[in-house]
Amino acid sequence: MSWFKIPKLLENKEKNFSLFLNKNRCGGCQACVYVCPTGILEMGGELNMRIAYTPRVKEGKGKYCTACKRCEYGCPDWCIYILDESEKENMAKKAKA
Amino acid sequence: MSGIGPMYPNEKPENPYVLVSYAGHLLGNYSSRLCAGCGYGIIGHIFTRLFEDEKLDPKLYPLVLGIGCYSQMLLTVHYATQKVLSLHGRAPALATGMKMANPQMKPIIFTGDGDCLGIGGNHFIHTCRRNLDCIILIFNNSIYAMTGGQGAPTTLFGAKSTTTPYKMFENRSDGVKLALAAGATYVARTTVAHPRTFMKYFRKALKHKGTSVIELITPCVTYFGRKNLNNLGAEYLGLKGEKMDTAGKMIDWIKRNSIRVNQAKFMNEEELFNKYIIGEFRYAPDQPEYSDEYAKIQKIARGGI
Amino acid sequence: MRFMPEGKYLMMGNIAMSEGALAAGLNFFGGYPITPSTEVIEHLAARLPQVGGVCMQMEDELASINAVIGASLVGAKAMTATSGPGIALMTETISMAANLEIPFVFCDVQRNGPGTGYVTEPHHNDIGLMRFAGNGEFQVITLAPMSCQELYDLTIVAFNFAETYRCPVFIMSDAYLGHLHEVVKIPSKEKVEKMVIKREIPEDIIGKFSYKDESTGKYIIPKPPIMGTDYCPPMFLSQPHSLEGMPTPKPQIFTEMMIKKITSNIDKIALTDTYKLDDAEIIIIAYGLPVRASYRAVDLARKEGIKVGILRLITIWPFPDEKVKETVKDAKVVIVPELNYTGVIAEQVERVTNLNTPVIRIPNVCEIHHPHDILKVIKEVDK
Repeated sequence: MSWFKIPKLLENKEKNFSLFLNKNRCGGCQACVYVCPTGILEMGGELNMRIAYTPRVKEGKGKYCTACKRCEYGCPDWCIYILDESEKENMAKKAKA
Repeated sequence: MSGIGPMYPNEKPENPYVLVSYAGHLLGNYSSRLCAGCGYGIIGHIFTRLFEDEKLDPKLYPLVLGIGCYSQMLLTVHYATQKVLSLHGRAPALATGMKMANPQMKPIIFTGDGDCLGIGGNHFIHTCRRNLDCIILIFNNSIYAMTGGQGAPTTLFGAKSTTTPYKMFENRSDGVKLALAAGATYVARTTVAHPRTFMKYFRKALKHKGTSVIELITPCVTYFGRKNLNNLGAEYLGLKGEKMDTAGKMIDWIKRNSIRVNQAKFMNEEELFNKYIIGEFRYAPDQPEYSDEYAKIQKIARGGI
Repeated sequence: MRFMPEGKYLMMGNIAMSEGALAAGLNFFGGYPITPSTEVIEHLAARLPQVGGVCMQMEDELASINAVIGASLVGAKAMTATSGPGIALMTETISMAANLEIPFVFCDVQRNGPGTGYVTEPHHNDIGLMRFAGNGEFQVITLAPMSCQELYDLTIVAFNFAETYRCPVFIMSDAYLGHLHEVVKIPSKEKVEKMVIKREIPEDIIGKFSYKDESTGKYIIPKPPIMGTDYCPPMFLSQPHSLEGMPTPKPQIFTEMMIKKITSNIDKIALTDTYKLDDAEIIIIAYGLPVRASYRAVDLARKEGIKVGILRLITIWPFPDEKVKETVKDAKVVIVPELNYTGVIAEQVERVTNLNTPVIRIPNVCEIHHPHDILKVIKEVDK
């Protein structure tokens, strides 16, 4: 698991977005698990550098994600976030560079 | 603030809004120093995002922060904002002075429940009474979190805290009712478990001319969650609760414990006890705003009618 | 019309001070009614809107001092006026303003005694409170006028001190001086405008907070930052901060700067006045109202051939040690008439003379000294 590649939690080809998790900064607070309206996240088993369990997508539930970004808004450490591969006018493109 | 926070290798593609936050802008990588799952991290993040998306002019929206755990939001808010850390409870009074000296400004005030309804109650009441053009965000985690979890004016009945080790027996004060009685013209309450409604209310407050009071229910896991059971709002059901020791359980408890305004009309007193009623309580956009009225006084004083 | 037309006016002390503040460029006043100083807010409530300023009566003294700090942060010249109990409430904010080096002027119209006291009686009992107004170590500047004319002039000086040294500046008047009606000569508009230091953004934006220039050892006090403009630090944190407002790991350097920036400029700040002091053996050191009685007492004593002179302190804090030491070194005895019992300034004089010349106090509480009281003491001492 290389440090410099963010694990992509899920990839939605048609709507062309993917859910990223900055594993090492996650504090393991489970806020995203409970904020997600479709409930597709659950706490994973591995520990990260902050000795906290990080969230992961439940088996086969990846396709139910509607990119509502509640988990992105609800994360206190900016760890979990949705990035659209499609053209996105504001900040996301800059971050890609 | 000697240590800015845990620093981990910067991974690409980074969340775009990290670099917009003050410490992120300074150091290129940042995660909030608050306890895991604290609501203030979420609010700081949402505020930074809103400040960036709305393209707010930092010179016209100064931030006045009270004293509390949220004072650390100095580091998480947008890097271009101009920030003042006021004294405990005096943020609304400081903002009144700033607003009246420079009427184009619209100060955004971060206060806590103890900060605003406890020590700063008098200033909060009179700022709302004057209908000064500002946004007052009350973060209600129903505990004095920074000083170690003491009981606050908004601690729920029966809750445990370091200064109410047996049971909180006092009646709790309600920020929204106080704001309504004092005359604030846009009053709303939402919780951190509904981040998008907070963004909606905040955008509405930015455009509203007058005092807008938004109360936010935030979880404080370390001092409130770990010490209290999650049947706090549901005593009448007689459930045996378990400790809310992670943010997820607290956010779950907040979701269960917050009732929409319209739904609350059909619930009796017993069910509404220890519950948070969320929604918009008053929106009166055409009330006279204090600095406009004072501009009229200045015109009269100079001989106009 | 911010400036009153030139000429002589019969004015109350509080009104003269408000006019002085207006002449000095006041555009925000936050206040709360309290007995000896309500005339200030009443007068400014009528006058400030005429000049485009804002006069706010806040809900309590805490709110009014915080509003003044907020206004001063945003670039307005701000002032508040209160009395004993008010300053006691405001001390926490004064110490925060001292930390953030926010310039503001504070008029303390003193009244009697601890607690409520006789609200219409003068009693110089807040002098200690002004020097240590609030938690923490910092220096303040206190000016003590003795007449309505000086209330007008010293307010302009106070605003200039506030702008240059960015520290709390107090004007110490009292219940009698505030309500005294006297003739005040208002100078012409041009003359006043020349005296006043304006609040503007400097061209050479060197820094936002004061610092010690290591090469010269002098303390550089830049112009006060203005929020809402580019000349503003990223955050106003009332903790020991560096030039940019960020917290510093060494608070001692910050505290030393807070104190030294005033004490190193004491020659420019300490204003004193002398009266028939050249061949005097007995020296009267006084400030405020008792000075007026001592003028008469000195004239009477001089007629009887007693060599008496007055050293009048206009700046109480920082205490002008050098000037007092230099005038008192060959004096036989020092008399300090004061409007309080313990003799706050008499103690300072004793500290400066380290007790080799006797210091005699003439305490008076709630009534002004009569020239004959002072004359009697001068005669006793002369034998």
